[in-house]
Formats: sequence, C-alpha cells, structure tokens
Amino acid sequence: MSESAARRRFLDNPFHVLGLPKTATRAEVEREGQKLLGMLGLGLASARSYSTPVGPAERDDAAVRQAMAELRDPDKRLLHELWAGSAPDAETDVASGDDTSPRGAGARRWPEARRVLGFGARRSR
Amino acid sequence: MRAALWLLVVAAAIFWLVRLPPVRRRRAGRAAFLFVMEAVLGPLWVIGGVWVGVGQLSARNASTVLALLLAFLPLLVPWALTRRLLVPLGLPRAAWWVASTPDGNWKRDPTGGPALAAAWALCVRGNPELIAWVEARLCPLQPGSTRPEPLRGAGMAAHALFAAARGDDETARALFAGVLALDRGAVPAAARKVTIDWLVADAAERGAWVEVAAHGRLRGASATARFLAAVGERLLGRPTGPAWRLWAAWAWGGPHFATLPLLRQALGAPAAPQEGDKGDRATTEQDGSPASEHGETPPPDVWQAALVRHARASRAEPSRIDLLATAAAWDRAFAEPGARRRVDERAIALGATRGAAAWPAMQRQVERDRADAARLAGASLRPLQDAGGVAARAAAVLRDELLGELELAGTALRARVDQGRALAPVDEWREHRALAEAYRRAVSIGGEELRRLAFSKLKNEIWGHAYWLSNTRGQPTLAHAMYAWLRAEAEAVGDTRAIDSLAKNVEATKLDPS
Repeated sequence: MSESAARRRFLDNPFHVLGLPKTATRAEVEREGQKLLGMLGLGLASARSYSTPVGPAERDDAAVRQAMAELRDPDKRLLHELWAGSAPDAETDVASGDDTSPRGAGARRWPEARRVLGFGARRSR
Repeated sequence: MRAALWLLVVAAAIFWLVRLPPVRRRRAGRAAFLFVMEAVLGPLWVIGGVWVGVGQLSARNASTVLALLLAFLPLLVPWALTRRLLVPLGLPRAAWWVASTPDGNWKRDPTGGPALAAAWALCVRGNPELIAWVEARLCPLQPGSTRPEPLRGAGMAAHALFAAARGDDETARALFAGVLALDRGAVPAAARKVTIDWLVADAAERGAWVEVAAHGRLRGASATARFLAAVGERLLGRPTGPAWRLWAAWAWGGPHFATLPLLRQALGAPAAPQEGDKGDRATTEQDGSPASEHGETPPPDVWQAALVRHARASRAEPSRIDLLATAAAWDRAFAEPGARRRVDERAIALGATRGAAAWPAMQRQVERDRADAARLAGASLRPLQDAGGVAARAAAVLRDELLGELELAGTALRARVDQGRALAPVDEWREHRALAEAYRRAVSIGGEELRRLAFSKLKNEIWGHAYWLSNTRGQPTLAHAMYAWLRAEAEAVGDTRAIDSLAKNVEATKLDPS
C-alpha cells in the first residue's frame, strides 16, 4: 500500500513508459508515442511491456497517451526527468517475482494444520 | 409426612424461581440444574456404570441400564460429547442443543458456549444452509429484553469461528486475538483453548512459526498446541532442549499419525538460528555501515545512486539499513554542488514556468516515500531522527501522520458514541481492537514520546466508549477490557490521575464470579 506509491512513481514515469531517455526531445516523444500506439493497435507483443527500475510493467494505450500528455507540460516533465535518472533494467531481476514469501522456517508451511486440529479445511471466500 | 415436607420445599423453590427477574431466574435455574447433575445424577450414573460393568445383571436388565446411562450422558458431559462427537461430525444444530445444557465449562459465558459449539461445527463442515441459523445464535437477546446478551470470551470466539467458516480468515484472526485480550475471568477455559488452537493452526498453515511458538506457549493451550510450539521453536533454531522432550510433547499431544511428519521435520531441523524475521533484522542491522550495503559499488553519479537505492527500496519490504542508506544517498544527492543550479537551468531550457517548484517537490516526494517505507518496515523513528537530513524529515512526516490518524480515529469514535450509534457488541470490540492495534503500531514506530502524545489524544475517547458500553449498552466485559487497557497505558505513560480513576472502573466492571 504505502510503498507502492514510490513503486508507482517509477512504473508510471513517462520516460519509462515510452522507453525514452530523459534527454529525448519533444519530437522524439511524439514520434515514439505514436509508434507505440500503432504497435499496440496491431497487437504486437513487443509493445505490451516495458522495463523500469522496479521491474517490468504492462503498457497500454491509456498509459502511452498519459505519458505523452505529461511530457508536453514542461513543469511536469521537469519533475519526471528528475525521477527518470535511474536507467531502466538496472536491477529488474530482483524486483520480479514474489518477494513476500517467508524465509527460513517460515517457508515450511503445514497446509493440513487446521484440518488436523479439528477446524475443517481452510475456506476461500 | 416427610414426602409432604419435600414437596413443600420443592414448591417453595419453584415459587422463588418464578418470582425472580428473568436473568437471575435463568442463572439460578442453571445452578440448580448443575447441582442436581453433579450431586445426584453423576454419582447415580457412576453406580449404574459399575453395576453394569461388574456383570451382576441379567442381559435384559443390563441393556436397559446401559440405555439409561447413554440417555443421560448428554446431560452429564454435554461439552465433552459436543467437542468429541458432534463438532467433528459437523452438526451445528445438534452441537448447539447439547452444548446448551448447563455445564460447568460455560459458567462464565452460558450463552456464548452453545454459539461456539454451533459455529465450530459449521467450521468443520461448511453447510451454506445453516449459516443463517448459526448467525442467529451468535447474538442472543437477554430474556425479556431487546438488548443483546453481554459479549464474553466464548461468544467472541463463536463470532471468530463463524468468520472462519465463511472463509474470512482476517476477521477470524482479529477476533481470536481479541479473545486473548479480554479479561481471563470473562473467557471460559474451553473457549481459550479453542482460541489458541485455532491461532496456532492458522499460523502453522501460513508457515508463521514465530506466531505458532508464541501462541502455543500461552497458558491454557492444549497439548497439541504446546507440541506445535515446540516444533516451531525447533524450526526457528531456538534452544528446545534434548530431542526426547519433543518426542514427549508429541506423545502427549496428538493426533499422532497426522503430526508425525512434522515431528520428523522438526527433529531434522538444524539447531542454528535461521529465522530471518523483521525483528531479528532490526536488531542485527544497527550500524548502517556501507560494507553491508549488499556489497555493491555505488554509481559515481550521486543522483543516480540515490535513485537506484530508492527504486530498490520500493520493490520489497525495506530493512532499517535500507532506510538509512537510502536517506543518506538522497542527502548526498540534494547536497551535491551544482545540482540545484542544473535543475534551474533545465527548467529554463524546457520553458517551465514553475521550475523553481520542482526541487522542493522532489524533496517532498522523496520524504513522503521514505516515510511510507519506514512505516512499512515498522522502523523506529529515533534512529531516523538522529540521522538528520532526509531521514529526520521523513520521520517527522511519519510521526505527524501517525498522530493524525489516531486523532481522526478517536474523533470518529467519540462522534459515534455521542450520537449513540450502536454497533453489534462484537463490532464494538473489533473497533476498539483496531484502534488499540493502530496505537500499538504507532507507538512501536514512534517510541515513548509518541506514546504520551497518542495516549493523551485517545484516552478520553476510549474512556467514553467504555463508559457507554458499560452503562448504556450492558456490555461490562468489553468495558472492563478497555478500562484495563487504558490503565496499563496510563501506567506506561505515568498518568497518575488516570490510573486511580481507571482502577476503580476496572474493579466496577469486573465479571461477577457468581
């Protein structure tokens, strides 16, 4: 919840969404945006994901249009440039995958515990 | 003459019972029933059993006596029969009826016990058609009144089991934890045992062996729960003594066949500590030295280094070392000579009209993210405050946020109490537990200074809530637990005036043992 705000800051950064360096010109932004929209329109798999410093993310039309709009505003672009310094793919592998599973002893689950102690099987809502 | 005298005594007793108020009448009736069962029928049942066992009766007479003995069994040991037969068979109605028989097990909560039995049976074999039937028995009304019965330990455990039967494990967990927070006098031993067993089973299922070890060692835990606690401690690499103790715990606990693989797993576990829980990390990661920063060489560009750290910390639950190191990286980035100038120049190049705002906006976002990360990690504010710079500002953001949230929750509670908007007793308790848990989390992060501030913000609201529950809602058990909680906190922060008043409230709401 709370940390995901920081995570979203990287995932939603327009430079990462468009796959551009922060030095990209306005024309390059427009060109890349239109190219990606076209590729997404054709359903090309290569256009559906992009890399960020916090791992890969899914790209869609709305995200591309939003990214282009953000970079058209100089004030917003300046702030996005500050956050886009980290090179995409710098450390993606650690991020991908579920890091929430317990380690050590915690990994040894006992799935029958409730049934064995007489409370029936776990129910999903 | 003697028979007439007996008849007179019985008639006088019935007349006296009928004239009592409904609540007292029921209590006296239960006591009389228990007396007859334990003083008259119990010994007769044993004599009959011995008579049949000795084999002095003819086959026909023996079968008649045996049938009588079996017929009276539900009256003599209703809970044992419910627990061993009806609950495992998953029969909520039968479990409720048999458990409704007055029984020494539920003296402290006579209405909660049968509800617990019904909910437990529903938990074992979830029958959707019986959910409404069981739910209707969770909140019984007082005799001759529209007010609900006072909620006590067994009743709350029944609510928890009902939540588990519906698959709402989170609610079940919170309610069972709430049972343990009640005064021991309001929680029947059988309900406490069920509560600990469920919490232990749930934690073992999730692989949370720290919780298993903690709950299984509580007073009132079953032998199986104690065995699982020993397994947990072994798996966590804690000292558990020689292996025969684990064998003994297994032999005393049970069920043996189902727990044998677990025993073998525990015996095969290495003795060395291997738990990587947060608490351990927090104690080991004290220094914040660069050597422990994952052995990486920081990038030459300090801004880039800070971003890399920030990104890394946002991917998983950060440790305290991550928090301090990331904040230090930002301190270096913000202090880099020329950084601010380059941003201003870039703003001019882009034509940004509010370019000067970008730098402070970036700082605020960084501090906001660091505060969120500190909260997620449950890190203490003190080291962050001591570190200064970004870490200290993030700590200030988090401190204000924690206090603000508690104040908001307290204000909402006071408004509800003032308007008399009543919730079901179990929901009143859940609201209090949620508030107490938020307070505990805030204090664990903010330390003693925040504790004093938070207590002063919440004291009157919780006090008012408890008073309302006790005097208007007829829920002294819940009020008692709240007063006890407030008193413990008042003692912790040294609020002497509150301690004296609260001690009187705690005493006034204590459950009458009769």
